[in-house]
Amino acid sequence: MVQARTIRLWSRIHTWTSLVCMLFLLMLCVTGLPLVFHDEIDDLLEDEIAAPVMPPGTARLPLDRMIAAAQARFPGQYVLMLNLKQTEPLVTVAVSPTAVPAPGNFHRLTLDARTAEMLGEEAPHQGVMDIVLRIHKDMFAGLPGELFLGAMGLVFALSILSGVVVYWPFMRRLDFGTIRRRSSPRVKWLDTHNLLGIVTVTWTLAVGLTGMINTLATPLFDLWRAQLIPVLLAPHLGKPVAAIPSVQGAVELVRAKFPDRLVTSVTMPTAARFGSPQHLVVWTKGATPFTARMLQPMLVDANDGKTIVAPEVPWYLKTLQVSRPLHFGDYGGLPLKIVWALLDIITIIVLVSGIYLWVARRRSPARRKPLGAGATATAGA
Amino acid sequence: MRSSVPGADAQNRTRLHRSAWAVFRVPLVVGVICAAGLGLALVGDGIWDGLSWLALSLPVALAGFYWRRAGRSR
Repeated sequence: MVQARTIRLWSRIHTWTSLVCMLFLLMLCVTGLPLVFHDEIDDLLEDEIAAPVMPPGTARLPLDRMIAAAQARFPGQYVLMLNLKQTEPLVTVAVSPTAVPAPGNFHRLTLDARTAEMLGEEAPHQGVMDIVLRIHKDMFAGLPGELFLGAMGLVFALSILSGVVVYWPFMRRLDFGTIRRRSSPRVKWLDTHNLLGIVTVTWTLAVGLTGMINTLATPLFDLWRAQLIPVLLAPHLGKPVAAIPSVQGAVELVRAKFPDRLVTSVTMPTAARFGSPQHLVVWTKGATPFTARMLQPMLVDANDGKTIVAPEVPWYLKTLQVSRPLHFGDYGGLPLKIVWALLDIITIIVLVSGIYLWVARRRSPARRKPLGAGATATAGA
Repeated sequence: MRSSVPGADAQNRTRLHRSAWAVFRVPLVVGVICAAGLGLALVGDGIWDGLSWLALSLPVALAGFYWRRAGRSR
């Protein structure tokens, strides 16, 4: 048969790509399961800070008052950024003892946007979900760990594609969805593996590849920054990090110039990689479900507080931003998250049954024969 | 070899070599529906979210349906 060799080759590709990424994929699926419900679990574990009830339309204080309050609470420390809550009149301020923050080493203060009253203060700590997230994201190995998992995602995609190819010889004699449950366990699990694997291909490919794209976030953002910032900083060469100008003024300027965009956060002038030493970065998002995913930074010159640069976000960062919800499944309410979790569990079953089939086949006396084309008929005997 | 579906065995034997089209027809439809489901919730809220839930539930429903069917036919 002409195809026998080709099928054997694809079967081998499927076996080895699966074995290579198996352990990491299992880890990603298991840690991913609680992460799907990240928001719900956080709400449950942590006391949600609510803004006190005041008459509607109560005026908000300038954002500069929030910075002043944070500086009064932690004198001599560095204010890194402000987050404007969209649903409630709350502002969170991130404060760090060092100019360039160490991961996890900062305080997050929650303030009432109308009174600058301190409502909450979160010391640097790692909750359970943060630890689960770190394992899922980089296994506590930083960028190398992240990129490694990205590579595993790519191997996983190859394993899925080769799995689709070998699905054909396995199913040549069977109706779609056949599970020979009364046959040997091996045949039963082979059929289950095939059925569950083939119906979830689109989802696993989408989540796998968007996850892989996510691992490139840091390098891609650095790339953009490396292209953009030197040009913007050319006139300021050699100057120290600028002082914080009027943040409220900058935000109002952005709102006036881009009335259809919502301000979500402001990054202070910083030498750290998430901002610019001579600009306030005012982050904005769109108002529709799709454009809300597209963050657009507006850079306001910190020296004059007036010049606004709205750099065009490059296609690769737009791709990254669209790929995020497709990985997290957080864009269609709780029912979508539940579907996400069910598909994740199905993927775990596919992975585990895959290992089982590999082990069972190695033990089987018929191991010399490929379990493709003709072998399925004898496998149950 | 015993088949889980009565009568399907004989039927299977008569069609030894199905074409790729015959094998991949149903998975292709499922795949396209899922892809639509992934996209729909991204474009809007409300009805779009609902359609997306339905579309992406399809693999789960199929898995459940065929697993139960295999268990019943003895």
